[in-house]
Amino acid sequence: MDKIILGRYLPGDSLIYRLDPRGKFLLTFYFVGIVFLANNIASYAFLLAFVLFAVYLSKINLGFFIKGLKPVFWLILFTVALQLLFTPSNHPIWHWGIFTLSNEGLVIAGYIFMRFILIIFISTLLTLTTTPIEISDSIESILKPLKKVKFPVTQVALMLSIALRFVPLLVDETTKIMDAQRARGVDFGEGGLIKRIKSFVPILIPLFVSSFSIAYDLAIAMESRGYKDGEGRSKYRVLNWSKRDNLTILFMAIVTVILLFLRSY
Amino acid sequence: MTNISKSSDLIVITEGALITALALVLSFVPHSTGVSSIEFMYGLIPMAIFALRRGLKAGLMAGLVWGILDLVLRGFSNGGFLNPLQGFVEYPLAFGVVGLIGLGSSRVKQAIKNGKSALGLIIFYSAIGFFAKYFFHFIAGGIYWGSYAPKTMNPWIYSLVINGGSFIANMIMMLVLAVILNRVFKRLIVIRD
Repeated sequence: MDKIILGRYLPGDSLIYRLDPRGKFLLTFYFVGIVFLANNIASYAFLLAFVLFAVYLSKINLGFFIKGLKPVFWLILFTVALQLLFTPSNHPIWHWGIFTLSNEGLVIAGYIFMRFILIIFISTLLTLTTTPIEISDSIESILKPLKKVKFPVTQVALMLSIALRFVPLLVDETTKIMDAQRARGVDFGEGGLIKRIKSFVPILIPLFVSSFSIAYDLAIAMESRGYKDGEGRSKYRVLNWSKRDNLTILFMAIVTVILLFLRSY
Repeated sequence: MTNISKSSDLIVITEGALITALALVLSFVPHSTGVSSIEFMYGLIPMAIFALRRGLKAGLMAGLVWGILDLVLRGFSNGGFLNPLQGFVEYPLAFGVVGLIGLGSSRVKQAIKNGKSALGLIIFYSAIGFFAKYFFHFIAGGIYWGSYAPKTMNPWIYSLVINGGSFIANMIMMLVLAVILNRVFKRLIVIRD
């Protein structure tokens, strides 16, 4: 549980690390979107080359990205197998009962596999080079325009940063409580449905009590330091948008144009 | 010692933040139901209590923050984000609507103040929030399988089984805990100055 707060962030220094987290976050979303535009070998190969180029620029070993596939291994396998065996075809290579193996199925399964690789690699690139705090700061900044429709941006932003700050503390507390319960013989995640739910009670109550107590103390501390609301407050962590971020967006626009060209090629 | 009203805006924010952090941490506690892909989401309990305690707006805000942090701390690393629309529906939206439980805040509090058990109301309003959450997970699942499964397959069936099952499992969890901890829940929902 110790690694939760850092996610998979790997300390380092390269062009990708130095990019503004807002740009990285938005471009990751954007890239995941344009992956769905690829429709032939040339377009998939081009996107793969782009992702590998980004991996190269990050100066992070490719092994870390391959490790990123581990949590979704079964999902990839299942989805690719579905495409392989259930894609309808008039010219099957092999047919048995409900299963059909065809050239079309092989090609689509290959494309779907590539889609997974591209999306997982690019989101791994974001999480390896950006801390969760930077990502949540970016989200806060991206939400700002919603102020115009009376969305409580400052409150949400404050909640976001306080929550992130207190996750490690509550992780410690949860680990201690669970260890204490295990020492008394409680087996979490074992037994029937009701037993599993009941084993959760001794964890829930102390955590509830300490969460409310911390929240109360924190509110007193903030109020005694003159906290009013989020308006006009300065930032401890300042995000800097620079020329290289503009160039990255320009580069991404060129990638999109080439992709659109290859798509209709 | 400095004192602060337990209804001030600031304490609503700090409580919401701590409850969100708690909800997030609880997702790392073993939560298997014994059936693969259907899991208990323990974080729903503190969220439900918070929404009933602080109302709709606070509940929706905390739910949204929970969704954003779950995406940042878990979604990106666990392959939970595989399509932009699915990512949006699966995280900020599905987690945010848990706050709808707050619709029952004043009715539940009133029932507790009148000395009633409020068990039925707690379960009813929790069901609204839980249903909304799994409904959006169902939609997200359909979007995912729609873009990844073969055209001949119906993408909605698998999503319906998994998310319907998760909704039922989590409602059982809420029901069991609300019965066992009825007195505790009532004390947590009512704000005492």
